[in-house]
Amino acid sequence: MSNWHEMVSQQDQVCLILALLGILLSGFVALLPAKLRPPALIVLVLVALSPGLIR
Amino acid sequence: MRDRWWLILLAAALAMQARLAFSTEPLWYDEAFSVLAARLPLAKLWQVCAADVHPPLYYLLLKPFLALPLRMEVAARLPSLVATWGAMALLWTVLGRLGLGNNRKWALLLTAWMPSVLNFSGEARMYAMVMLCFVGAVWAVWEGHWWLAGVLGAAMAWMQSAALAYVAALVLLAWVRLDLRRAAGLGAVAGILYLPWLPEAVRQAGALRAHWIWWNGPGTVAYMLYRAIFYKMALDSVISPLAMMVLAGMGFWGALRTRREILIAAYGPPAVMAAASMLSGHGLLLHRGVLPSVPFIAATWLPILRRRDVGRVLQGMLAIFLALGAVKFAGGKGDARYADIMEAIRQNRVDAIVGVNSAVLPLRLYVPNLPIYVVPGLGDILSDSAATNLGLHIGYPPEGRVLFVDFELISASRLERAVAEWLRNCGQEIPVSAKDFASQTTTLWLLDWRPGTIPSLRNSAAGWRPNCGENCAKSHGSSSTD
Repeated sequence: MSNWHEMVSQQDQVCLILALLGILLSGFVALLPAKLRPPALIVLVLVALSPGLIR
Repeated sequence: MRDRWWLILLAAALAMQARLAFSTEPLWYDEAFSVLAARLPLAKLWQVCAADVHPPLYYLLLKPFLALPLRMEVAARLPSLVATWGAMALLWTVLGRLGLGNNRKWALLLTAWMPSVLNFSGEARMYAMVMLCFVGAVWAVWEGHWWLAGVLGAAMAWMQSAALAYVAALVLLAWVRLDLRRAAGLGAVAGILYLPWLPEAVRQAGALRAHWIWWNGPGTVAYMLYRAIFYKMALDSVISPLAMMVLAGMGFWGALRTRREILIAAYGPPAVMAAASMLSGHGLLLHRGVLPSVPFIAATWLPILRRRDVGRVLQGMLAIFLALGAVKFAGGKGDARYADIMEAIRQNRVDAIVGVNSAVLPLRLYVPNLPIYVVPGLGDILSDSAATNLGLHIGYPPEGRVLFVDFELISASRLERAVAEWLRNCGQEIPVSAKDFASQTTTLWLLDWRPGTIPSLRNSAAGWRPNCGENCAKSHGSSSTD
C-alpha cells in the first residue's frame, strides 16, 4: 500500500486485459468443434491459473 | 432429486446469511457510522448526512431496530438480513416474470451464494435494503405500477446517492416494458419525492473529496463488477485473474442471448455510474453500489451455464468460486477487530485517543467514556462538522497519556507519513493485531502528550499538503482543500 493511486491505475490496465482476454478466448473456444470445447476450456483455465499458482 | 438438492443448498445459503447477521463481530467504520448516525436526533442526522455522501433514509429505518432488546451489533445488522430475505422472496416472482422459467431456481441459488450478497446480508449498511427496493421496483414496472416503481426508486436514492443510477435504469426499463408516458411518470414521481434532498445532493457532489479520485478507465469498471460479485473470496489473489476472465467471457456471450429487460437491470446502472465517473473524474462506481444488479447479472449467465458443451465445466468452476467465497465467510466477515486496542487501554493509563477519524470512529461505540480527538487536517473520510456531530473532537487533546491510533487508510498522503515519522520519534509502539478494514494495518502508539508536543506537531503540519494523497496536487493543482 505504498502508493494507492499508482496501484489502482496499474490494476485498471491488468483488469481490462483480463476481461478482454476472457471474451476473446471464450470466443475462440466457441469456434472449436463441440467435442473439443470442454477440454479446451479446462486447458485455458489451467493456463490462466498458472501465474497465480507459481507465485 | 434435483429439487431436494436445490432446497438444501438454498437453505444452507440462508443459514449462512443469518450466521453473518447474528454475529457479534464488532462493527467496522461504515457500520459504526450507521449506528452513531441512527442515534442522532433528526435535525443533527440531516446535518451529518449532508456533510457525508449519502442521504438519511437508511439511518432513519435503522432507528427502531436499534431500540430492540438485542446486542447492538445484531440489532444493527438485522435490517440487512430482513431485506436480503425479502429480496430473495421477491426475486422468485420477478425472475419468473422475466421469463427465466425453470432457470430462475438456479439464478436465485447463485444470488443467495454470491459472496457480496452474503457479506452485505450481515452488514449494518443500506446496500441490502437498496437491493430489496430495486427488485420490488422491477416487479412494479412489470405489473404496470409505474408510480410504485417511482416511490421505490426514490427510496433507493434517499438511502444511497449512487442509487440515482438505478432510478435512471428504472425509467429505461419502464420505457421498454410499458411506454414513454408511464416511464416519464415514474421519473417524475421519483424526482418529486427526491426533491427535498436535491440541494444537499448538489452540495455533496460539489464537495466530493479529492482522494475519491480513482477513475482510471474501463478496467476499473470490469474490476468493480467482478468485486460486486466475488467480494472477499478466499485465495482471491490466485483465483481472481481466472475469475475475471471467466466472468467477462460468460457475461459477454451470455448477454448476447439474454433479453434486454434483464440486461438493463444487470448492466444499466453500472453503465450509468461508469459514465458519470468518466464525466466527473470521480470514482462513482463502487462495487457495493452495484449490489442490486447482482441477481440480474447472475441471470445473464444462465444461457451459457445451461449449454450442453461447456455448461458443466463452467458450472463446476462457478461452484468452486462460490465455495471459495463461502470459505472466507465461514469464519465471519472479518472486517474489524478491536480487542487489542481495548486491551491496550485496559493495561495502560490512557486519558484520550487520537487518530484518523476512519480509525477512531468505531471506538466511540466500544470505549464511549474516553474522549477521542482528530488532529486538525488529519481527518480522512468524515468532514469536521460530521465528525463533531458524531462525538469526535477536532483539535489537540489536553496534556496527558494519549493513545494514537495510526491507521493506513490513505497512506499515500504526506501528512500521514509525516505523522508516522513523528510518532516513531516520540511514541512507544504497542504491537497489535487490530484492524478495521481487510487490507489495512493499524499501529498503536502510546505517548505523553505535553503542551510542547503540540507546537512541534503544528510546525511539521505547516509543511504538509492537504490529506488527499500525492495525486491531489497533480490532478487539482494547489487549490485543492480537504
